Order: sequence, then C-alpha cells, then structure tokens
Amino acid sequence: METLMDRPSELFDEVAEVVREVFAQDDMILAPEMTADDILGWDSFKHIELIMAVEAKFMIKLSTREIDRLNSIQDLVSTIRSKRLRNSL
Amino acid sequence: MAVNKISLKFGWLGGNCSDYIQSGWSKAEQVLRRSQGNVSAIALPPIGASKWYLLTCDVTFPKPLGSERPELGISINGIEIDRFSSGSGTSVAIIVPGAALSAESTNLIVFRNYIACEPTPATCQGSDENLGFAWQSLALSPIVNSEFVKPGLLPEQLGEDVLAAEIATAFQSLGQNCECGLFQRRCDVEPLGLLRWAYIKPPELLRGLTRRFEGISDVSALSLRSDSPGGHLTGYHDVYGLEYHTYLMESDVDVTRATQKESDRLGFLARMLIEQLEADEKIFVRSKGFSAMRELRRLHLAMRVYNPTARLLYVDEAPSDARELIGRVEWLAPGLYKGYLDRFAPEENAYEFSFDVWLRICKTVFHFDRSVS
Repeated sequence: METLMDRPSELFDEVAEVVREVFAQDDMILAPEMTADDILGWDSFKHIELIMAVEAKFMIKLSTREIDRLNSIQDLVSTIRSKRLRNSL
Repeated sequence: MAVNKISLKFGWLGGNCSDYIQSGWSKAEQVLRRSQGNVSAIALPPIGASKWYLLTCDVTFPKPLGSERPELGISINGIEIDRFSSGSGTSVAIIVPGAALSAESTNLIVFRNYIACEPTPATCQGSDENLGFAWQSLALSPIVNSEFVKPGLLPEQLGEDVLAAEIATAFQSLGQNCECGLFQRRCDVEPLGLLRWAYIKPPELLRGLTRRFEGISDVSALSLRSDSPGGHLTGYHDVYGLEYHTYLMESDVDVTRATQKESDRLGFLARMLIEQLEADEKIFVRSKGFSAMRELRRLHLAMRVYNPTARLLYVDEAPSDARELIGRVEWLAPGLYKGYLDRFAPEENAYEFSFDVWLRICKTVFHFDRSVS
C-alpha cells in the first residue's frame, strides 16, 4: 500500500498547509526551496510556532539538531519524512 | 550492598524517602516534606567508591524572620560539608569527597537548621514544632571526569580563522541580560533559546536546572504585562522568576491568547534547553550574578547532572586593578571558563555592548574547547 511517506509531493502539500495555517495566509504560494528570508514574518518566534505545529500535526518530536538544520521548506519536508520513516521501522 | 547513586523524592506523590528519613521531618505533603525542628537526618545505604560525588537538593528556604537569614548546614557521617544561606527559594548542589562516604555501612546525612523556623503552615496541622526547609528531592551521584585543576589563562590565537557565525552558534545563553543574544545577532545567527532574551536570578536558574524546568508551560504561572497602555509586553514567570521580552505589543494581540501561546513556547524552549544540556551540544554562557566561585561551581555542577562534560563560560567585567585581563579567558576547571569584558552594556541600551571583546572571548573558548574535545 502506498503511504504518505512514499509520496513526497503529498507530504509537501501537508506541510504547506501547516505553514499557511501558522502564518494565517490561506493563499500563500510556497515552493520547496523557500527559506525564512522569502516569507514575510518568519522570525524566530514564528519558527518555534511552526515547529510546534508540525510536531502536533505529524505526531513527531524534532531534536534540537534537526531544528538547527532547518533552513528551507524542503528541509522541513525531508526531516519529517525521515523521522516518520524511522518511527515506522 | 553498596549503590552507585541515589535519588529521593519527598512528597507522597511518587515519593520514595520513607525508608531513608530519620528524625526531624514533617508528614509528607503532595510533592514535599518539611524539615522539623533544628536537626533533620537521612540514612542512606552504603555508596560505592568514587573520588567525588555531587549532592543536589531541591529545597526551598523559609522566609527570613526579621534580619535573620535561614541557614542550612549539611554534614555527612559527622563531617560538616557545607553551609548555605539564602533569602528564599534555592537549590543546593555541592561536591562531596568520596572519602566522606562509606561503601560498607549506612551514611548518615544531617541537615541543620540554624535559624528559627517559620510558623507551621495549615497543611501540617497537628505539628507541635516549627517547620523549616521544604524538601522536594535529593540526589547523590558520582562525578565523572572531575579533575580539580589550578586556574590559568587560556592561550589566544589557537586554531584557524573561523567565521564569527560558526563561533556564535556554538554558544547558548543562560540568561541575565541580552548581551550574549545580541552578540549572536551581530554575528548573523539566531539560535532558539529559552534564556536568550531572559533575565533570571541565580537561585531561580539553579532551581530550573534542578527541576528540569518542570511545569514551565503552566499558563497560570505566566503573566504578560506592559509598562504603558498598548506597549511592549514583558513576560513574568512566577515559579522560575523569568523576566523576558516577548517582542509583542499589547495593542496588537489578545493578551489571554498570547499568554497561552507564550506558555507553550516556554515549554518548547525548555525542552530544547534540556536536550542541549543532555547532548552537550552547546557551550553555555552566563554573565553576572555569581559573585563567588563556589556559586559558579554549583551552577556548573547542576549542568553536569545532565551531562558530565557540560561546559559553562561565565562572563564578567575585568576588575579595575586587572584590566590586562580584558578579552582573556581563565580556565577554572574542566569545562568551566571565565571571560573578562572591558564593560557591560549600559542598562538603558543593551545594543551598546562590547562586541569585539565578546568575540575575542568566545573565539578563545571555541578554539580551546575544540582542541581538548
């Protein structure tokens, strides 16, 4: 059976939805390579809010090292994916 | 049989101290037990051989009566180990020589309450004696890698040139003021940190570390207040004494919702801080507030409960008669450093901090730390 973990584009869509919710912008257009510099208002406070929302949505806990390495939306997607893969083993 | 370490909790909720306590204790309350009278004793089982031990106690001092400050004395097997004095609310961490403990017979720890106690609280009706210190937990564990070395200045210019951003990322603030956080900002890094923009007094910092900042996300402990209507909101945490910038304007937010959000954020950041301590990921920085070496060592030891190699850089102003120390770093003990600034930023403008000296100090510690790890 195909799972979310096998379909990165679907996972990206889910992450994008979380980002839009956190920034309260339903029409925000997102791309994997976008970083905090590309999104207005993405400061360290929003960063924490986003990580907490991601942890709640995907039922994972990110380590401080994983959080430190997050620079782009793609980094977030990849981290969630590998975390879920590890959790499923 | 001798045990390697021991950890006691005093309340009836999850408590395990009833087999160990001797005379001088009140009945257990939910999370604590109070010392009763002037002498309270605990009998611990034989403790296995180690050169040094760390004794940590989560204990709240009673309020001073008049000008008398409560004092807590600790002796082990008849040897007086240390004596503490505090206004109210502190945690205690002391080094205990292994030679003071017995690996063959029971170890008797006596806590002496030198000053008259506060009146019996309603929770302990029926006690006919005054009560003293409120005890939540006590732990005795061996110290790993503890060599007590003679302090000395660290060499500068160790290692190759490294970007300021890389250096600044290696550090994490343990509160006091925002200078460390601003130094990192000037280096173009914005690490997340519970205490990066926070003021916290030494006793509360020790308490937080001892309790792993348990309950920090309890919304009832946090209040957001502004100096002027609609102005900047400052966060005040009742339990851990945190005072920090929220970077929120009262006029822009619903304060009740913002308080809930801030409480969640504190919980998240406390989790990060604990992970960083446990993984020994950062060199922690504290400035001001720890005037005596003994107090500084207590902070370092409280950190080393999380990881025996935890590192602490204490930053202070160079004394007026030793200005040659400006920018230099003293090695006080393994993982414990003291850096000397020319000055702290003026209170009214933290942005006017001494960036070049901060960079020099952090660079020295960064390179030295790399060379020894």
